Amino acid sequence: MTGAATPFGLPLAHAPEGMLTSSEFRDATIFAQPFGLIDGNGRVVIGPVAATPPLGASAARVVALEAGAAVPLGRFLGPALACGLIGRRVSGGLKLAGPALTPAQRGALDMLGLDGAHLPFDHPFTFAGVIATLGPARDAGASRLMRIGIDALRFTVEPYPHAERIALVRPGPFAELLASRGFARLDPFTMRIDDTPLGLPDLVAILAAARVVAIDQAAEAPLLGFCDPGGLVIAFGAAVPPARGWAALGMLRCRPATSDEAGLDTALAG
Amino acid sequence: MNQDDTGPHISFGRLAVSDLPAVAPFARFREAVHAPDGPEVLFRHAPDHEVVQQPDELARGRTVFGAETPAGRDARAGAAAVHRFRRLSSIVLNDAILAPRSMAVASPARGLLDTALDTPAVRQSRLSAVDPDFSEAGPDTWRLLRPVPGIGQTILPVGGASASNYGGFLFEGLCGALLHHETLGPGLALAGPPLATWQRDILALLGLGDAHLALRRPTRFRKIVTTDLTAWTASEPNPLARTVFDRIRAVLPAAAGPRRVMLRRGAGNRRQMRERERIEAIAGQFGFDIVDPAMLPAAAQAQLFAGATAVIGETGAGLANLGFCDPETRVLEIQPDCLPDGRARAACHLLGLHWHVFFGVADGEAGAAPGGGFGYAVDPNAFAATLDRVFGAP
Repeated sequence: MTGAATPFGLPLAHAPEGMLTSSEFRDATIFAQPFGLIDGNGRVVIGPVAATPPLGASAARVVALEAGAAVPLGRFLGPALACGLIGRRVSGGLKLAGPALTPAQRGALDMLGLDGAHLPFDHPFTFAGVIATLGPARDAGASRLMRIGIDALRFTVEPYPHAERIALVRPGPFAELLASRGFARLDPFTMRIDDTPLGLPDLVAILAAARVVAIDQAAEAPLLGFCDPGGLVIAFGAAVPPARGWAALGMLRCRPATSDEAGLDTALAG
Repeated sequence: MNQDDTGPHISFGRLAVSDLPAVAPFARFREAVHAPDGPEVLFRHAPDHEVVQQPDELARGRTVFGAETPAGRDARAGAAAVHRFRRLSSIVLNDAILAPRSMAVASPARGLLDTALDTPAVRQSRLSAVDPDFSEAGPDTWRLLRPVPGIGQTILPVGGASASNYGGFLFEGLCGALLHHETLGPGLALAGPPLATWQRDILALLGLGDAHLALRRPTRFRKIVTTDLTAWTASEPNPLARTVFDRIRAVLPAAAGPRRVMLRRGAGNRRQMRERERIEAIAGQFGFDIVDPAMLPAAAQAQLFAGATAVIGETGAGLANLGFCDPETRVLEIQPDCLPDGRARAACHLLGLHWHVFFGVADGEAGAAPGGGFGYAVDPNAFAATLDRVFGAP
């Protein structure tokens, strides 16, 4: 790690203290699948990753962007994109680098005018310097610093009331139960709502207009950041803690519930 | 590129934001901005929202301290607490004029955008009292008094009529200029009156320091892109206003500082708290450091509030810094009972802070102008009891 010259000086321990730090790692290798980062001394910075030899090298300095098909959309648009944007800001606008983007991830960069600012690759790649923003705030579930990409994307859409009730849940019997209660199932992995394919602006617009969102996937909780104030979030299982955090950030009510008929009906009636 | 001055005495009727045709998706708005002959349109980002929700700490008898004066609509016994979040639309006007004193935007072809009229100062008086570059030519008709130079450029006005006020600058319009600059592509300059040092510092923290064009007189541009958040939105912020604070927080290092902060309003302020020294001493007994934020650079103000867990402040611009506080920070606003200001309450709700209010007793009515001069008293015993209830021992 080094304190190379940047507009802000690195490493930069962002407020609140200890929650997020931007650093530059020299001669570091970014791994695509799974996403990871190993510095020039062989230390795993983001992992776990298997330390295979890089298949390419560059004298460039870049900002690491966690991306690719293995990264849930909520995680990408929340912490991954926010850390990428913070890294660009503190480094004076270096390019983002990381795994090849999914269409939805590419759509996000397009919407923010960053389509020309991304270096994609599918194999381990070593750079002279890699800026990475790391810390508990990146993984804690909800943080104001992790919503800067979400707010910028929300700015570029008009709410579209496809369905008042949206389910961000895995397929299966519980999803069918939700459908019977009028929920349209939004699948951020396949980018479909029920059987209809979506672009990223559609997904953001539909969530902005939703008034009730059911969620059982913790990694997709940052998508709640697109919802306009006053809505209701019904959270199930592992999604409860991050959904509660993102709901509080977005002025949404949050009701934890058991993922069965009684739990759902109680939450809807509450 | 400077163009010939436009002759004097251009007249304008009123142009409501909603009079413009709406387009969607945002890509079409972006095309309208960049096409030389693109249409004059608006894009609706968000409608008005009302959230009826009793915040944890907003309950009469628990929230309202001091003289136990009713706290406006929300603290009346039994009244539902309604939080209003302002709609947000973007607008592009061709061959339009920006008047830097009032930040009024006017199109000779379409009229004066009514966001400049939606401010307390203009509502209580008239536009020409706020901006001497205009005169009133009749009902809903205004006239520019001087020739208007032209610049062949597309610009984003920074802020609205309240941009000279610290809170107005941070909460009204700046987020629109910031997000336009980010999402509309290159080639767009920010514009407004010459900046004060603190305004320049804030733009630099947002990465916009080099993009600002300082205007000293009304100037005509190829296109002006703005939002309706440039109106006076004090007690009804749009949620996206918080992105200004988030982005500044994101580039600032953590700094050691007091955890409990009481703000001191500058000596030149027109509202004077009686026995201020005694009230500050009581706060000191509860572990509060007394700070005049106006004496600090913008970054230091942000760092101070980012590190605070408890804040006491009088109603006013300094409380705009609450935007930098972490969620769950406990806030006590000292509000003279003649002021209707709801900015701090709304900001706390927007940002997840615990808001309390202590009412001071004003000597008289607030002046005719917003924030007009008066004195007010804070009962020391009631204040000490309030600090004990809200914050407890240091």
